[in-house]
Amino acid sequence: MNYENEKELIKQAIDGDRKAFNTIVNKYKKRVFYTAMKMVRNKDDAYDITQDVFISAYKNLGTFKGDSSLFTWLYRITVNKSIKFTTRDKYRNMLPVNEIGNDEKSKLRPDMDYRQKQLQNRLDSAVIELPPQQRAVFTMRFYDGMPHNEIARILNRSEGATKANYFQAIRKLRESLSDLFPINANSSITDEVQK
Amino acid sequence: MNCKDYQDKILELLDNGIDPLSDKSVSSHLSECTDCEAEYQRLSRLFNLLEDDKGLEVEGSHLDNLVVDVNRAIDREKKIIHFNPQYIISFITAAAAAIMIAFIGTSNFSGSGLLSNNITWDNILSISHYGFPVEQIIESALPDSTLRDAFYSEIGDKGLNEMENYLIKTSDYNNLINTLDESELEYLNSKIQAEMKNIS
Repeated sequence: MNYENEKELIKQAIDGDRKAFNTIVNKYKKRVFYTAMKMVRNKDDAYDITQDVFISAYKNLGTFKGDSSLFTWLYRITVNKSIKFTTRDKYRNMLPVNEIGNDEKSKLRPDMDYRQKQLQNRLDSAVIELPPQQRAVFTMRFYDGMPHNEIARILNRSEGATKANYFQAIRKLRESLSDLFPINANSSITDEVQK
Repeated sequence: MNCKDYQDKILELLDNGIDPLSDKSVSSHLSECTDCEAEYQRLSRLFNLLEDDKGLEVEGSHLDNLVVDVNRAIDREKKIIHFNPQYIISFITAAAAAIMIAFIGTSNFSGSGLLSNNITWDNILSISHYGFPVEQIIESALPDSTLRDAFYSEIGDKGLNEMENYLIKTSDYNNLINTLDESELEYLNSKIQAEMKNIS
């Protein structure tokens, strides 16, 4: 079936056309997964969140007013579900996560060598240790390149507050990974990780 | 501007993808201040590290099953009746009775015809007021004692035990749901909802 535009696709999906809904899933699944993955730093959890996002979307598509793009709507669901996921006790108890995602990363980034994987794990750990709101703002801004005013709108907070969150997140990351950034050293980051 | 202001500005510039050294005032301050120069170096390297992390490529195959999984989950949720604690027992016993029919229908016991020809959905709803014991289910399914005695003598103790085990095995909620086909579930659902209306 050809859909004239996204509005038509949404209408068909609301009317119960599963094929139209599946088209929406296929169109946005990578972007939703990417955001979830950057938030929770674990492939399986990101997959579960992605699945959950589309189930919610299916159930609530009728409430989508069209005052934003469908992706923005899905994105908001993704961020909220990821925040909720990372505030669960079970997730918090996973910390510290020095060993998290080693195998997962290998599957997702077969191009990585051992040192890069170590570096990746250090970064994942540092990101996971950020408070959920800071992590959300950081992910939205840095990985998804979202303007601060849009982040504020999605999280229903002031722009000043989300901007402050973002800079706090960057500073925390810098502190957590400070040993990777030796001053006046010419050695590369991966060399530092090896030490 | 003090050092904190400069460090904030360095962060702001990096956030906007601008090299802080391209800003004359920042560049000039960095040439004189080792602390801010160090901070600039750390932040620059952090941003470089983060830039590399942007490159996560999601392999297509990794999300291949997503559509199937999402659809399965949606269908499963559609099947699940949202229970009120008041009638969860009713539902389970009624569903158990429905499964009993399925068991009888596929078993080799000669009593199967007797039961399946005499049991009705109304019987099943009345069963919902009983507990799980198979005798009570049969009693409700076959209120006529002559028919019931005939049924017992035909299936014997062995048949009764098997039926009980079958009921226990399938009494798990999810198994029950998955055992029923769409029409059974729809009928059961509507009957239970009607019953709930009566209760309320």
